[in-house]
Amino acid sequence: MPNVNATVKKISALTTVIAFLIVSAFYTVFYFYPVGKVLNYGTGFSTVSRVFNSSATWKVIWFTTWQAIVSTFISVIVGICIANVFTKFEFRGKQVLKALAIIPFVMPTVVVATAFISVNDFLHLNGTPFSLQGSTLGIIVAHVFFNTAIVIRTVGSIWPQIDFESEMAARTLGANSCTTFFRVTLPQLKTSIFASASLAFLFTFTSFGVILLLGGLEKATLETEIWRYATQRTDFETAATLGIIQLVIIIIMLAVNTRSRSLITPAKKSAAAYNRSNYTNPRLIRLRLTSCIVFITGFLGLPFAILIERSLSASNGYSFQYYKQIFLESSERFSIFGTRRAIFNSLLWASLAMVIATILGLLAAVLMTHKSKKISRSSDIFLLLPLGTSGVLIGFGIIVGLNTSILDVRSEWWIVPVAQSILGVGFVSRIVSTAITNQDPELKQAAQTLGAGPAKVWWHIDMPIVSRSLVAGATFAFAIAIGEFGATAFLARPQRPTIPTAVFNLLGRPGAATFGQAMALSVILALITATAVSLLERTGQVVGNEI
Amino acid sequence: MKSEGLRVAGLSVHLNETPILSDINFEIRAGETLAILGPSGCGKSTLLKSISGLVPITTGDIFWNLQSLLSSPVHKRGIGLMFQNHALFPHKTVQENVRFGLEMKKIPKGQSDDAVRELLDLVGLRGYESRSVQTLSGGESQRVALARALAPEPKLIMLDEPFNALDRSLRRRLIEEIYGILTSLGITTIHVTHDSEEASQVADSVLLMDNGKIMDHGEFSEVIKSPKNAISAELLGLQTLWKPKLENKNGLHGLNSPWGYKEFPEPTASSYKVLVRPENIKVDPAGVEAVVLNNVYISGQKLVKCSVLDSFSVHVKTDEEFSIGQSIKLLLNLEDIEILLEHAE
Repeated sequence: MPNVNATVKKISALTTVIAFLIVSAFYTVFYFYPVGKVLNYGTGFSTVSRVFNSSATWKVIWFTTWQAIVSTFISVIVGICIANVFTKFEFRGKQVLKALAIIPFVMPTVVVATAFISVNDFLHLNGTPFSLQGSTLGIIVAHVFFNTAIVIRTVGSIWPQIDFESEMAARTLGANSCTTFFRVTLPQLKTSIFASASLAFLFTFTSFGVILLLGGLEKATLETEIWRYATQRTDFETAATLGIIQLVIIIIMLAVNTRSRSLITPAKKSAAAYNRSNYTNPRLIRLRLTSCIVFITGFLGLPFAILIERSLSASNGYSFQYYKQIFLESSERFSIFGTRRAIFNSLLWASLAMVIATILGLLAAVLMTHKSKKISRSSDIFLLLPLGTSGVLIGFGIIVGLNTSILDVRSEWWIVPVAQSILGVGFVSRIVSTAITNQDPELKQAAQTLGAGPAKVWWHIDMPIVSRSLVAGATFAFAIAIGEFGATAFLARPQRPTIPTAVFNLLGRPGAATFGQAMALSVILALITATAVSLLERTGQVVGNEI
Repeated sequence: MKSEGLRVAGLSVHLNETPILSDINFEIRAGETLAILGPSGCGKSTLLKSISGLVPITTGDIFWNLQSLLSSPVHKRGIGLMFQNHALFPHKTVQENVRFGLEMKKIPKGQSDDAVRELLDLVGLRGYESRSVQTLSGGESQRVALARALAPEPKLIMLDEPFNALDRSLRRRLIEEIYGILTSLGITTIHVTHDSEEASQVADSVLLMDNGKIMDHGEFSEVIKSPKNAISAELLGLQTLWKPKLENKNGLHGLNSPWGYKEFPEPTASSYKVLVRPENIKVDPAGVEAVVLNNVYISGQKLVKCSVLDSFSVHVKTDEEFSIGQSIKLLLNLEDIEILLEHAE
């Protein structure tokens, strides 16, 4: 036995070293060095003072911040209302409705933006005060559409764990239902609300696709300004300074998020499992259920339905004309957008990004779940930053960083999947490490008492848990990569488009045909993502809590 | 006098069209304690929750001093409920938990501070004011839950299996402490439990429940002396019950026991069980052949379980030592054989 233990220890130490070397090499080359270069570019005294003395900068910072705060606030309110219905009531079709409510979260920004563009077109909102294009309203509505799902997922997973008896106790102590909610329920949900709100804020603060497509030229945020300064004005210094401002705010929000998540402690389980519907006035149940169903199907479902309708609505009635044009590219005019090529590229690169993210994510999870607290804690922090960094900053970093004679990889095709995988590694490692950490230690002990040695324990207990979460992580990494727009917008050359960049290009051109193709291409992207996500749901992994 | 206190009349609760409670009727005089005894899932907790207004009732009424409570919402009923798992607010300190009900009554802070201090004194938790409730032991949580329920001075307090998860010695101590407090305050109390010993320690009267219905109700000593049916006897923890073989003599049903023939009280009833109390069986050479199966100790009292003629088993209260498998002889007077209906009428 001592020999077996010694061998296990050796293997484990060797795995840690290999994991550390590979993960840190990857992040150093493709994340820390490029982002470091951005810091270097953006911290010149004259640039910083010019940027901070410009009223335009403050206008951009102000708009970025307030639209993020408003979007987050509305998402939190709406998300709490829906999570409340999901927690309190049992009804037929609840699971379907829950799945529907989560879908927007994983949809690529480009799909969401085109969905609202299609709503705008369908309802002829252009020129009205309710126009969703070129307006702040459109940006906020799209952000709420995205982020409500984060709140539903995070708050909705904690709410059922709250001891329902504590709410009943408050009622018997003289609190009415409103006081009970604010004094007893809400404080117990506080940390999960902070966690989801900080995440929602982070996403809206660094939002790129939605702002670019729905906001137009007038509505600039830090993220779109970095892109504009870098690609259209080739003013790398200003772009880099704006990038640093953004990075500082991201780090603060990540700290808030990490702190909130660490404070979420599962409540002591209530012995009795309550069907909370039994404790509510039936009239109130109907009212809340109806509003929840109307919201989910109307606000979250309708834009997708209209997107599909627009993609089929051709000049001569409903047809698959735009889909045919995408695949055939028969007309000279349409071929310049390389739509068929874009689908092929997207599928290939997202698959490659998934492979990279899965391998590196697994290695990173080895470090994050290491017995030594020092190793696990530092790798957790080390891997958190890339997860919060916006795609635009990563893309920009690679453009300005990896241009030395040894490392000039900017025009290589494979840099796109590599950049897309940076976010994926973070997600895979988090999903896998959470699955490992949450594993009941008594399972392993039980296996040992039943005669399983270290290898068999690993094979029968660890392996199934890891593999399930790895499949979930990989699928998630694929979904992120295929919809990635920020970094891809920098790195994908015009002759090598992806679906999001092709949609962006198509929408930039006038004409019904290009508009129709953009819609059709978005539908295809939505379908690919939805397929990936349904696979994810099938693995039974609760993704979203780990993130 | 009879109208003072709680009266539950014809109360039924259906959840999703499934009956949980059917036709519950009982009364408690103000200042008295009623124990509700029943197996898990029999509807005891639902009964408490429907009295407090947490669960809507389907039919029936609940009165306090002749006034119906049905139109009052939960928070206005003034009925305290101490939950099985204590249901302390995890985000509040001990003091904040206890003060909650006083805040709801809008009692000024200075006054409520005094009340909280007094209550914590009463439950022996002085000095625990700013402790987080998550750091408390089971017994401490229990006492905070009691202090919290008592703070708004409820007219009726209901304790839902309060000592369930506690070890025996702590349970005994807390029963003494808590009932010392409740008796001194003269509060009307309902105590739910599935332990007949606990029920006998705390209550003046007992209500036996099974399957959402009342099986028996009355003074504890009366109910235990003559249980209405076999289910009641089992709920009360009476030890030796078996289903007898029926015999028919001269058109009357009867039980032909090893100790002699005994006629049934009501020949029309379909199903009976026989109850023999351990203290009525004697070890005696003139008795019937039996084999010792094991020795059990219930509340410190020794009972010997024996198989009689291989057909049923009985418990015998004795101080004598017997080894397992030993043959002994048991004597029983026919009048000590009690014949009970197997189910409620």
